[in-house]
Amino acid sequence: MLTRWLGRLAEFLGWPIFWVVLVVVLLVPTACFLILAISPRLFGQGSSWFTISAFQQALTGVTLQGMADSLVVGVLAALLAVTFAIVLAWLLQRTNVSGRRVWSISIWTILLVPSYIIAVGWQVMLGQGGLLASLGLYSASYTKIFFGPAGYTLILAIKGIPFAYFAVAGSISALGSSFEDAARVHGGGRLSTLRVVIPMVLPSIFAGLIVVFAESIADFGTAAVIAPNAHFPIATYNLYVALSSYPANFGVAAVIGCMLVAAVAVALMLQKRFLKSRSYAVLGGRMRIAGRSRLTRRGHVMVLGVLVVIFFVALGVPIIGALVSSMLKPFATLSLHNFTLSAYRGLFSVSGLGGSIGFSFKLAVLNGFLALFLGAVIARRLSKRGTTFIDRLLDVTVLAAIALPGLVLAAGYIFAYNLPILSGLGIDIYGTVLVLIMAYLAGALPSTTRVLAGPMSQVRGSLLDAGRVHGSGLAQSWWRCAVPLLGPSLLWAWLLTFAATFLELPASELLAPPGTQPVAVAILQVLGKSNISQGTALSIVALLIDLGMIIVISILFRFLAPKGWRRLGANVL
Amino acid sequence: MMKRSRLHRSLQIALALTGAAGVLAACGSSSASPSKTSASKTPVVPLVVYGAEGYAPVVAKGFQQATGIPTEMVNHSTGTLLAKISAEAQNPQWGVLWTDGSDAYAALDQQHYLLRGFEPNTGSLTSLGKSLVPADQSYIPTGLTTAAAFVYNSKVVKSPPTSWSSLLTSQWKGAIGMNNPAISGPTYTAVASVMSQQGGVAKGEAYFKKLAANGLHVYPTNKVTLNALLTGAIKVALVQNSAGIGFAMSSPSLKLAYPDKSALLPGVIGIDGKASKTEIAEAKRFADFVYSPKGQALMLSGDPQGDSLFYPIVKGTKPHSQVPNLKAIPTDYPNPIVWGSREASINAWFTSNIVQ
Repeated sequence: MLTRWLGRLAEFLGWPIFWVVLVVVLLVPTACFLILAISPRLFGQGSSWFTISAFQQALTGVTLQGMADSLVVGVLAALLAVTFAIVLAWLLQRTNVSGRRVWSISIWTILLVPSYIIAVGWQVMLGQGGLLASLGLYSASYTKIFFGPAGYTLILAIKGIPFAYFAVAGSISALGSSFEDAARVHGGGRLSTLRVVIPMVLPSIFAGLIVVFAESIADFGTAAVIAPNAHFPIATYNLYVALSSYPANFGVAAVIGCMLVAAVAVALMLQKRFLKSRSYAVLGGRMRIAGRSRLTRRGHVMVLGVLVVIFFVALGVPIIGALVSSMLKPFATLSLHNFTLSAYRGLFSVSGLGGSIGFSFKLAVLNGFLALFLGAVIARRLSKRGTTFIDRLLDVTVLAAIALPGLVLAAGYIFAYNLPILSGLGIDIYGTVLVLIMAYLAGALPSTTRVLAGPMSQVRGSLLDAGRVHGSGLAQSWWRCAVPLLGPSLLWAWLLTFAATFLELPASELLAPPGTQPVAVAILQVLGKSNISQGTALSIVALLIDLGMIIVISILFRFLAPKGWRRLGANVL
Repeated sequence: MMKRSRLHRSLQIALALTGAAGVLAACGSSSASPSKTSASKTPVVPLVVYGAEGYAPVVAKGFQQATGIPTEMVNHSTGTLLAKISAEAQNPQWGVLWTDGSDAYAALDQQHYLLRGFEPNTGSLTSLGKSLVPADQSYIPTGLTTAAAFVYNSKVVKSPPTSWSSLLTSQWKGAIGMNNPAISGPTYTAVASVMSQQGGVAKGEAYFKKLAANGLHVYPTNKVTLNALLTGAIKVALVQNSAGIGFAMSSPSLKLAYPDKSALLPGVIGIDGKASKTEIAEAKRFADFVYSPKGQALMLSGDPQGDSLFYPIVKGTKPHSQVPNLKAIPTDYPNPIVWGSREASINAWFTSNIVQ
């Protein structure tokens, strides 16, 4: 009775509250920053109420070149990442390859390793005075190739693999084998079976492509390491320079932000045109879980070889690089007695580190739930056919935030919530934890929504109708009929948000209340000191905390989740 | 402006909205409670210190203990803090700003951000220190470093370069690294100094173009540039001397050489002229504390392998033994009023023509 009543209340109040939250968290700050491009005076940033001078500045020379470079790199990285992801999803979900859990956790680890660590790891490996150089294998020419457009694209593609994987793996595992079986029964060979199955998971493939594209053009970590020295302008690096200079050039930064958003909006329109012509609702209650194809011994060795190569490139090199740089004495050659753990021991003397970790941990847990709930609601709303203008606006807004580098979103928060008019109304939330939570939510919502978009669009309406027919309210029928099917995807989305929030930098830097220090800011502080290895050591410790959380939650899920959830989730984690 | 009570109210809103009981515990540190209550009857608001100096958190803590004024530290790089201050222009949130380089302060002063006409009286400045005080007393010098010093690995480089012009020779082709002045505040001062030594902006730009043609590497910050030196990607790093001395303490093979002239880079305190009267009074007490023997001692001990390696300008304070005698280093002090106003255009030029 009580749950039914609560469900009714939620239905009555749900949408108005949802829209208010979305406007406050995402729309207002993003709009404020983008409006700044044409009206700096509104936010006390200049004398003009209306000007296009920022566009004139941004659409020339290095800034324009950076934009073009970012778009090309984004497209290539997205294609590469999705190709890798489909191969991985197929191998891990549909074959009996050994060590599936290890590979799943490895995919997670890629997501957790900040892109700057990947870039630094490659530098330690390939650079002058790097690992290969100490083995006498240094070559200026391949180093130059890697620390330029090619290496940049590869690193972004590697970083994109998890996003693409989460977008496609859920649907590949949930698809069941009945469609393949049908194709095979009707005489289809492998190729024609693929031709039947691939279109069914197209929504997920597109979701993956767009997420990786948007994440790539908004990535800053790799750009910061590679762009400055490759003489290869990148949009996010130009944006960072515009914001870091004194006086900060918010106008140009806003224009770059607008252009990144526009790029994703175009990609989104293409996706809509492609997908809206047909329905992809194939996930229902009567789905049989697919069996795993048994690999021959030779096939098994080959598959393991492919997996080892992918993960060595994605994780092995950067982790070895990071570990070596955190343990090797400066200028020392590569030999065992030159390794030391002093950097890790030194971390104990850094004051306030425990507080930083606790602070970020709590906010990351909280943000995981907030983003999961809102992201699921948005993803479902966007997956319905015949969307209204409001929904299209919602879609573009949510993606705007994914394409906006965190730095821009965080700055937007300052402009939006530090307005004197708000102080006049007694709303003084700027400089408090509330604003930081809101910014974390805004930063996480787009990726969470995208990760859930694929699975959510596959839940058949009939499944929910069946629940309603049997007397459940809307909320209850979702909870009882759809959520168990979506269990693994929801778990992934929560973990994704947790991991990203725990090490989030730009909002933490610009919006953390005075006197608090989120983990990423603490890492930056330690990195800025003369003991470089200590900074890397701290990054590795933070990663281990992140990873530990994922392992613990996965284990809890396996033992505590309801039976139906577990049965579907068991082949995933 | 009772920031603290607002903070608590907002926290309650946050808790009500999210039901996250844990957040309050996490934010215990954000509502710093003074360890001593102020004996005077004056109302107390939290003093917000925006500081990039490595020793700033330690000094802020010492100030809170000494005065009972709750001091909230926002500790980031100079670039981040200045971006925050610009973005918060309509409703400033800071009370004290403490970073390296007077150019940005001269520019802030021209935009009427800073409180004018105040200098601390708890310590007396050396003659060099006095020469750094601006005519309108809009900011407060607290110590000196130089930019840039030539940091090199003595195992690889036997005779380091000793002048700006020598960097253009083929001997140093592809071997020099520096920071991007648009991102690293102290580096802008170094660039301004080189340009003024070359005879102005146009001649300075020509010099940097030649340096770029000789394979100059540009990194974002001191740390990245020095890391490139440690990994052997470059042979000479042009960085702030205190950063170089700090790295040399961990890596003894690193040595410093000084060019024909390097720029004096003062550590500077500015006070928010738009803050409440109470907060301005507290900010003045903070500056007084910095000049006092206790504050000076905390500056010297707060970041022993970094910013604490400065050259003191308050009489009676002795620098660390690793800091070279400033009299032995030829220095130059580009006029902050002239070069502060050129910062945006020179940085934009440098990013377009040298970095990319």
